[in-house]
Amino acid sequence: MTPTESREVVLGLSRERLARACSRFERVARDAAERIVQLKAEKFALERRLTDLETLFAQERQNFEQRAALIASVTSESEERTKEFSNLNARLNDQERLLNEQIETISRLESELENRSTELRAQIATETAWQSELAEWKSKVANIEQRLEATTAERDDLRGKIYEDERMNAQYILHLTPDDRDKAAKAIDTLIDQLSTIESRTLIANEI
Amino acid sequence: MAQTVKVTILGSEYPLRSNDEALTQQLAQEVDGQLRELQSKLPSQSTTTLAVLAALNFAEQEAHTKENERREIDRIALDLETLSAALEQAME
Repeated sequence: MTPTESREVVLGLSRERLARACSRFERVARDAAERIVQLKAEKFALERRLTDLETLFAQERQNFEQRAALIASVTSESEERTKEFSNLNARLNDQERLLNEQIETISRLESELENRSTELRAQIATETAWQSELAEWKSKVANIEQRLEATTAERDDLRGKIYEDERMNAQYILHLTPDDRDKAAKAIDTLIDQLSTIESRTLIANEI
Repeated sequence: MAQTVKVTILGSEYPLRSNDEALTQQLAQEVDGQLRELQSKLPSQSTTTLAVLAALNFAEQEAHTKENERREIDRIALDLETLSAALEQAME
């Protein structure tokens, strides 16, 4: 084999190696191209998915912010209501204390009312007794008034008699012993005393 | 289409059949230049000796060219194999 043939053989081997490498590279490149197309499709799908997820994330974030604001509002309102509840609780305690005081006052007033009732019943009994006694006294007054009328009529008669006697005495000498005059004077005084007593009782009865 | 091309080497005219006149003229100029360079260095040598020396020089250049071509092919093949391996590994 000449040097030229040897070089041609070596060069042929190199070319065969290059051809194999080219073939392998073409195959690998074709697979890679297919893989790249597939990856591009996957990338496109992933990008769309990412866009959807970003949109969803934005919506979720907005929802979260709204919920956070709502929670903050509810928390603030809860704090205000807690404060109002504390105030109401304090007011309720005050009112409960006042109510207890009022209950004690009512109990005291009931006790006092019971005492007053007892006293009133006693006064009613007393009044009944007084009314009975008043009726009795009215009856007595009526009797006394009748007796007063009778006594007044009798006094008028006696005065008439006395007038007639004095008129007669003025015409006739009355022969009376001292004892007769004393008895007559005592009888007149007694009648005057009885008349005064009747008048006093009549006034008392009217006042009652 | 082959045509007759007249070239001049060391003052002698040679009719040649060629499909590419420009390439034929260029190659003739290279041979003429090579022979004239050898003739200037070796003025006492015959035209035959100068032609043999020129042929040897061209053969040496061809050998170097093929060796470079082989090395370049091997390098490209190695690069392709490396790229193929890298692509295969990347696709796994």
